[in-house]
Amino acid sequence: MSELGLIAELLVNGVLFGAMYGVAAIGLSLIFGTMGIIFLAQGAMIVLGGYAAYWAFRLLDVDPYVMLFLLLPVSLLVGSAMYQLLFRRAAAMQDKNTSLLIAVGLSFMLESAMSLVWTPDPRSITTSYTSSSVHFLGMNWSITRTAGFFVAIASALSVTQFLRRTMIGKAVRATSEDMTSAALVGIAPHRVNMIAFAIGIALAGIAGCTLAATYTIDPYFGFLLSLKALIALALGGLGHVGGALAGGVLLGLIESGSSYVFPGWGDAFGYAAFLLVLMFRPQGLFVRTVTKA
Amino acid sequence: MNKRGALTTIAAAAVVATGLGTPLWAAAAAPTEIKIGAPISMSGLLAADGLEQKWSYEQAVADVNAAGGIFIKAANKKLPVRLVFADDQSDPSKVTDAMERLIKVEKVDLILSTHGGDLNMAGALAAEKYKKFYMITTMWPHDWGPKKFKWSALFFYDAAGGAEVPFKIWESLPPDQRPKKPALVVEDSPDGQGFGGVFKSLAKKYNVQFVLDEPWAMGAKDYSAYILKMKARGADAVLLFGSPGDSITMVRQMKEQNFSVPYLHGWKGTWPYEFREALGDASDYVLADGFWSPEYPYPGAKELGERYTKQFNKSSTSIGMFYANAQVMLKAIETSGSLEPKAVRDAVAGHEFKGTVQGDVKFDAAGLALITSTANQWWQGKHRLVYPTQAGGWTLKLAPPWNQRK
Amino acid sequence: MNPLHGKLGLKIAIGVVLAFALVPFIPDAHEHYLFFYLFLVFVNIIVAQGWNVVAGYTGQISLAQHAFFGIGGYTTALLAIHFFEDGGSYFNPLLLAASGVVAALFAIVIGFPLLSKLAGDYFALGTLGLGEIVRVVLIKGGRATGGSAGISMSPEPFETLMPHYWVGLLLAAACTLVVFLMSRSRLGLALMAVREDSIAAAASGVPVLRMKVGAFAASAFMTGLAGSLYAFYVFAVSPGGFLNLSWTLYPILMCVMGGSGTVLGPVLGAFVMTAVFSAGNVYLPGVHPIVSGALIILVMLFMPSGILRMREGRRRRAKTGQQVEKGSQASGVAPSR
Repeated sequence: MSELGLIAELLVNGVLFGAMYGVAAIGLSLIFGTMGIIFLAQGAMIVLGGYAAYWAFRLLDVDPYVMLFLLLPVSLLVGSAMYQLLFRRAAAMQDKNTSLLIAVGLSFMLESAMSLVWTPDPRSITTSYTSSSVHFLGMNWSITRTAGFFVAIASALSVTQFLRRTMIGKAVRATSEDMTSAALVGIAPHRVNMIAFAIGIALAGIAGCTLAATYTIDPYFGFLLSLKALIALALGGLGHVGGALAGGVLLGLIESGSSYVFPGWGDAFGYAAFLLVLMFRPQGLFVRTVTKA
Repeated sequence: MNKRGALTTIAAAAVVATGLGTPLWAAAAAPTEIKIGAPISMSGLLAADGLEQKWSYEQAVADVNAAGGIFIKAANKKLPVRLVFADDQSDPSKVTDAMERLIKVEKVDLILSTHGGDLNMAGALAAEKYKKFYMITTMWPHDWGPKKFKWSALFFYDAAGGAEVPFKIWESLPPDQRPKKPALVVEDSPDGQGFGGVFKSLAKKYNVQFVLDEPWAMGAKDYSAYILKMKARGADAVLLFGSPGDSITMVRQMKEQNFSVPYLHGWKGTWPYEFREALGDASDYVLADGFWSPEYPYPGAKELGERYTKQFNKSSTSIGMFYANAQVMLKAIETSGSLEPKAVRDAVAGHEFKGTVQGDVKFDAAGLALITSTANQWWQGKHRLVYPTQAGGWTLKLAPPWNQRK
Repeated sequence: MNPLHGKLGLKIAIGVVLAFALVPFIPDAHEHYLFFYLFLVFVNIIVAQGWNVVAGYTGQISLAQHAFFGIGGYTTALLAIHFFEDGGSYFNPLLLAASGVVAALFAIVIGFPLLSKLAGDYFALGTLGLGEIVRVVLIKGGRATGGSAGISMSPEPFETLMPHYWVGLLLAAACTLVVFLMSRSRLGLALMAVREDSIAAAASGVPVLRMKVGAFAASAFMTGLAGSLYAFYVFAVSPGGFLNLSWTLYPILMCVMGGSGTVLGPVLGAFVMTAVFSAGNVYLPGVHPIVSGALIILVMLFMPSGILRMREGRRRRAKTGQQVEKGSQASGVAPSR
């Protein structure tokens, strides 16, 4: 295989892989944008969604991509409930400590609970197409990863349209700018936050289904995923949805590329990129307008 | 009472309750039972192995108790054995916690080890501190040996022996089938880093050149870079050292990229049943390491394997070694007739234990016994023993390309 | 207001420390599990006070304490096996001090660029990344750092837990004293000014960056000390054991629960949480992490300002709640309940 072909294939894989980080990051971006909460439990929620897909497949023969749609209403409900129970008070106080720690506690709890109930063994979904690939342009395109990529794009587009076109979406954006002023003009901040949070969780559910179809999941993957999502978020610009997806793809490329040249150091490069972007371009690499610090 | 008072009271109560569980001054009396402690990974990343280990220890103790227990001189009769577990949460710093609890709260003097090099190092160190006997398995002799521990004993295979297995298998193949361009992918964990170096030095000894020799970041989900490189360099064998999740992902992605090698041998990650479950028939032909095999001709081996399969609906290549670890401890208690840690340890070091499910285990004067690691090939959901070869047993199958497999 | 301020408070504190100092003289006390529990409490107090300094008083939320804990531990282990091979390393005050200093230097070097560019959430994220980078470097360090298996020291000199108890008590009391003195000094005032409003503080002449980095370094120093102390207990340092995120999260929990930004908050938090975790481990093995997670959530929901500041916290919560209510009233929309 030619050098060029190799590099092309690496790039493609990096992009497809990065899309997974991107979906995780979009949810994070939405939640951070409206409430300023770094929801470190996003990864654990994604893994939970993955387990839902796994058990639906194993017990009821439901295809994971079908489960994706079935899970939407459920995760919206769960997200709303979570906000009401856990984050509402913290959001009102605008106390970063509290919400951060609640998210961390939740992450701990979920991981341990999943490990206890479903054992720590890694799980994966094997359908007729999960290990297959399509031959296109002289490269092998894994079906599941390509599907994951399209799901990511679709999610990003839907969320962006929602934020721009619908009344509620605009309310979400207003609240993320300034909660008190938004309240002054008649927006009920808690309801808006709840919606944003619910969408964030719904995105986690989507990401979980595609994750379970493509890779193996285990209860402890969540935290690492959260970290990677954070990096994607920083790369793309905190609070910017399209940027989050782009950030994820960029992270995928960085990791793919660096693990080719410096095997085993992929993670370190990701974290280094994270720190550098935070320090020198905190608004993210894909945002041109100036946002509040 | 306000919240602050309530909370402080709860905390105080918790402390007192823990304290009350342990009398400050222990009464000295004739023992009525044999209490053995074991730190086990009941939660955390290594919980899968930990639970197998727990089951095996429990089986060994149940079997001994069914035979009436062990004769102890101080009590002048046979006493039953009781196991006490403490969760080490797959974390080396929690192992010391667990040892503290076992030694100070449960007051055990004899301890069976947990699983894994860095966990066991912490446990062995704790045993040295408190002068209790720690019977170890799953720790590299090259980590344990130089420390010259006086209060633990170890039986396991050494990295050199374990890593040599694939080379020996290759030697046993006819020359035209022997892999000439193997690839080595080893994860960045304590076990992995220990093994990796040995593979490389053995390659020199056997005159083999690795076309790819790279560390594997744990938990990274995308291995396309490795697979593309192996493809480009024409690798015809892969030695893979990594976790179950990562190993499953690697084989899956190999299939996606339509890359197959005749010989794929995995350590740590390819033996669990989840590997078979996740990959289905794609798991056939893959070799896995093992501490043991239910196909061993040793007394009780087959029966133990059947017991496990009956209960859990899958087969195991490690329970035998954990069971044998307990067997050694129990037998040593019997030979010494005592519960004193020094006496029991002295009954292990320099002695041979015949007829365990792991065969005959011989300890040198320093307390180390080497065993052979096994290589097992997956076929239709079962582990078939490839190495050490048994007469009339399974012969190794080399894998055809993906599109030629059924 | 608070009876623990002032002369009486000081006397009570000295009395308590003396009481703890007398515990080891109870016959066979060191064999008891509670002795070990107290040692753990002391270690946790030190780390919690470290976080208290940088986050409670200066308002910079650092999530990299485990990195400094590990740096302290590794410094001790490396110096012990390279320079003290024939012994003399056991609780050598030079090693303890060196561990703290190395961690603090590291904090200064990283702190300047990090703190000059990042604030608030961004800084917290940056420290999270920092912690992970330190972990990767240690794992990849090969022979120098022992790789993923880490380094082990010889447990020869260990006889009882007594020296651990003494040194732990001493360091915990010293750190608490330092925080006490600082909170009453102009330095403390400056730090709190930075926490409340760094722009206003700068305008009042406070050298904000230097304060932040100083607090970061001080917290790293204390955490490094704790790491050294713990290394003398386990006799082995490894990325898994020392760079575990729990060494950041648990002390934060203890500090916040007890009351961050107070002198005794971390102490109280350490006693209570260590007791709860130990009890959980003994009575609910395997399920313990779920309990910890649930506990963190409950504490944050119902006592976010910590035990010692609950009254103050309640007042603050009511105020912000009022603001939101007023806003909704002004626009005639019912506030969502």
